[in-house]
Amino acid sequence: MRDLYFETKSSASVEFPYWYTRRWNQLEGEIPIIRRAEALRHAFSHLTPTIFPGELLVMGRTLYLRGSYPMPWVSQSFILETGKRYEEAKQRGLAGEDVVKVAKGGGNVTQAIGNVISVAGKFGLRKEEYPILKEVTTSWDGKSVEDLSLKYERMVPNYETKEAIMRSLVCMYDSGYTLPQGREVISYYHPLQSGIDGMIQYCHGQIERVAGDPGTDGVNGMDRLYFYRAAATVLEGIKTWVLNYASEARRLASTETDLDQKNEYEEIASTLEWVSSKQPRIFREALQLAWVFHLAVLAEDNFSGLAPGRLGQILYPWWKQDMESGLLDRKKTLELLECIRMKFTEIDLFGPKMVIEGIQSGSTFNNVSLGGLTREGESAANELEMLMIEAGMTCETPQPTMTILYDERLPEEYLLKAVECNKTGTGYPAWVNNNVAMEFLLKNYGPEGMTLDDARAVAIGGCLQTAACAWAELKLNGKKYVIPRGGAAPATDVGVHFLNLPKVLELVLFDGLDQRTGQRVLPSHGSKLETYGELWETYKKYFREVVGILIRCNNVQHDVWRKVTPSVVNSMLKPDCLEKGMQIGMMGSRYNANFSVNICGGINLVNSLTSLKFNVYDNKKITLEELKEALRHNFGFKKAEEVGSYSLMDQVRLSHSWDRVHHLCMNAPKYGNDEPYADDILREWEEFYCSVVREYKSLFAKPLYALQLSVSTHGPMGAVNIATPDGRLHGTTLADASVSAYPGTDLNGPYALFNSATCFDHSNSQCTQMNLKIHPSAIKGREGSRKLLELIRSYMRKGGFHIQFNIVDSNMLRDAQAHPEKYRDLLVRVAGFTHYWVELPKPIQDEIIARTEYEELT
Amino acid sequence: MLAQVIVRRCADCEHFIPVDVFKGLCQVSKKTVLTDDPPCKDCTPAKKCKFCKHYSPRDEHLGMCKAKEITYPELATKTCEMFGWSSDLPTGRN
Repeated sequence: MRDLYFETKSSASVEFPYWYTRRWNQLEGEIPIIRRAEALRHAFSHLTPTIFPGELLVMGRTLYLRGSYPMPWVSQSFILETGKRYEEAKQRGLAGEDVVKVAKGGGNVTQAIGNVISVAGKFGLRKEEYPILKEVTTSWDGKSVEDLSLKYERMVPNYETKEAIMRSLVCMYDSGYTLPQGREVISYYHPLQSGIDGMIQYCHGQIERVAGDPGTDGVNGMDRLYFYRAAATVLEGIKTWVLNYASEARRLASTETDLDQKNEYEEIASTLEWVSSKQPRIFREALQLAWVFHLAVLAEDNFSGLAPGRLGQILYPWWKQDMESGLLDRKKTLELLECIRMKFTEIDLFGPKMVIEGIQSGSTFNNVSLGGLTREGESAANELEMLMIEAGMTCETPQPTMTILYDERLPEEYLLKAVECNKTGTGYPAWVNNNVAMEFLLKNYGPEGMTLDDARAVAIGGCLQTAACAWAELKLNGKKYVIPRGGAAPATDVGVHFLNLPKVLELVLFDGLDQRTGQRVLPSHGSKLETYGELWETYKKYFREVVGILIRCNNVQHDVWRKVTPSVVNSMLKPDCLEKGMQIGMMGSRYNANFSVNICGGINLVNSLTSLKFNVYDNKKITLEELKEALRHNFGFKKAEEVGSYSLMDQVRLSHSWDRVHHLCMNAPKYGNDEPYADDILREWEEFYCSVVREYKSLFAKPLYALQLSVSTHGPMGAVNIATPDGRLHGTTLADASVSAYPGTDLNGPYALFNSATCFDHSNSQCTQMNLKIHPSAIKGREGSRKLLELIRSYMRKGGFHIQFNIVDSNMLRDAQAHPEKYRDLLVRVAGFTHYWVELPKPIQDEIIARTEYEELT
Repeated sequence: MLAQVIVRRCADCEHFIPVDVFKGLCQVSKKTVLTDDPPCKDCTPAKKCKFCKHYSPRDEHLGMCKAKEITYPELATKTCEMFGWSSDLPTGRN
């Protein structure tokens, strides 16, 4: 299947949106959540089932192996990539469309070939399906979340400033109608415990109980009836969808001449027929049913980053029973785990190229969490998880990525196994500090009742977002277990996203004017910036202005989203929506303080502030005006776009007029060297950022939290930034992650970098992110593995939240950039995710090559 | 032979397993075939809107289902409860 995948192109299908829209249009006047549920049921029931020879676990998003589809009911302006709507959108939230680079390699379809056209920058679509796509898409004009949001966002005071912020790419996207869900942990518990029929029966029972009963709440109490009806409706659609696949498996078996393949089809059919209604009995059934619901959740929204959570602990009871009964062995387990890796890798997400490529580089962030603690505080690591790590080595694929929830109590053998996996160069697993994650959860969700035991259920949603989860009791074949129940809060990464921090500094330095476009973004601050204190206060003022206007608009977007396209599938799974009869948009989840302010380019900001303080204010080596002139002239260099490389080291000098200023900026103290001058500025920034965001409220009237990761935004955000006072040049990629050093500036080794990175309290932020590149020779053999583990331990013990590695030779990456045809299967770690090198945009490839490569770990 | 009259390409065949927008696997030959490849002697028409008795074309790539719902000829209808082979087809499938 992996070989077939490598030959497969990203393909868009119109089936799902066609059937969804057809049913939706038939139900004009129906209660919105019922109308939506009917549309979802209709779409699920009509999807064409495709089963590929060799599969053991089946079902996909579309009839294609690597298929996806647009959801015009959420957002439609970008889908056709033509016309007035698209041009207008590019003046607002889609301003990045013309900035992002789309990788031309791998499965991306970036241009028309024969009867296939390219849509949304990277997906192939059959030419003959374009007219129906256009019909379906335009039928949502004026009705989509995007259009309705725009209508009501305009009523927010100073809305025009919001548009200017988006146009200048101070902020990257509108989460309410771009990726309204995701970066969260799914909960498979209900289907695994009750089966689909059990869930339907429960809903019908609840309908009888709550119909006409207001409960204790005069608003949500009455809504329960419609929620349960919607849930039952969608479940019936999912059941039909599963049975359609079962029928297809029977049909294939009936005509198959190869006996082994025939038996496989029969077994697939039996598995699907069972899980279409009942609780899974065995590991394979449990894995298949979990996959069904994973797909079902992805189908209801533009979902990025739906993490399976602690999958190895959730499925452990089935696996243990099968191993004890002899139904499974390690080899068969490994085969199934490899199959599920392929299924997760096949997931594609259709969206604007600014988001899919610019932010995500095509990744879908299905992150499996491993390790951590049990409810009672013991190591939660198990043998099935060891096999999952093994499958990550025997079947190297970008999805699901993996994260170790590191705790001192995890067994050494287990940790070394994870290190061995790191050494294969795949970039997974990432390492997350379980204690820091729990501390954050308790600070953020304590007011909603989270206890220490609850916090121990933590898992990672999306690439590295700390997600609130829960525990549950499972009854299986007459035995009882306590298992992780999965995510207990909605999307962990929605709100103000992503803020381009160096761009805010540019606005400060140039009194609110974007130097790339010449347009005014923020009102004049009127400050002469005569002292560093004045500069810093002005930065904080502008930051507040930006967050203040963006969150109010964002709240409108998410409010429209929950009213127009309420979540049904994800809601019915999330604790405690089904129990309460409330969807997640109405705060049915156990925890609801889930909105954030996400940043990018923090280290460039810190280095720039350091340079300003050092060169302009403290030592007076240059004047502020001199520096601003140098920035305007890009320190005498060509722009990155003209050079065709986005790495600082490849830039081309045009003039020596600004050499002195550039030299001073480059040689000012830099973050990452255990030097207090720069680190104090980082600490000051972090203390401000992590506290100020809590002054703003989400639509759930809960405080926002800080969230620090770059994904791929450091590419397009760098592209719109002029030169920065740290010496970085116009258009070059920003520093990745949030506490990684800017490439080439960490000169004192990884332990010095760790000291700098942990100069502030990471538990005040939902996540921080550290990427490290190590030459394979530095960690050769068993001794090398121990060295790497000690390095990880050291960072965790200092209080670092997250670390991940590219264990790769930069020379090989340069060769891969020159000869991509030789490297179709090369995986690299970007910023929270692993992806195929050939599917990464060039600005990100350049940045990964430029990252400091440690040749020894001292 | 009759099937070949109405099936113009591999993607119209029941044995075609779509891999992506360019190609698929032939369940009979076990080989990769292109979506637009001409059909072979083993081909059997797949259920699609354009072969349905309820389908009426509006133009080359759009049509109507039961004269009231817009649809498109290439829509696979394996799962459509209303599908019925068109009597206009020169085949015994209707």
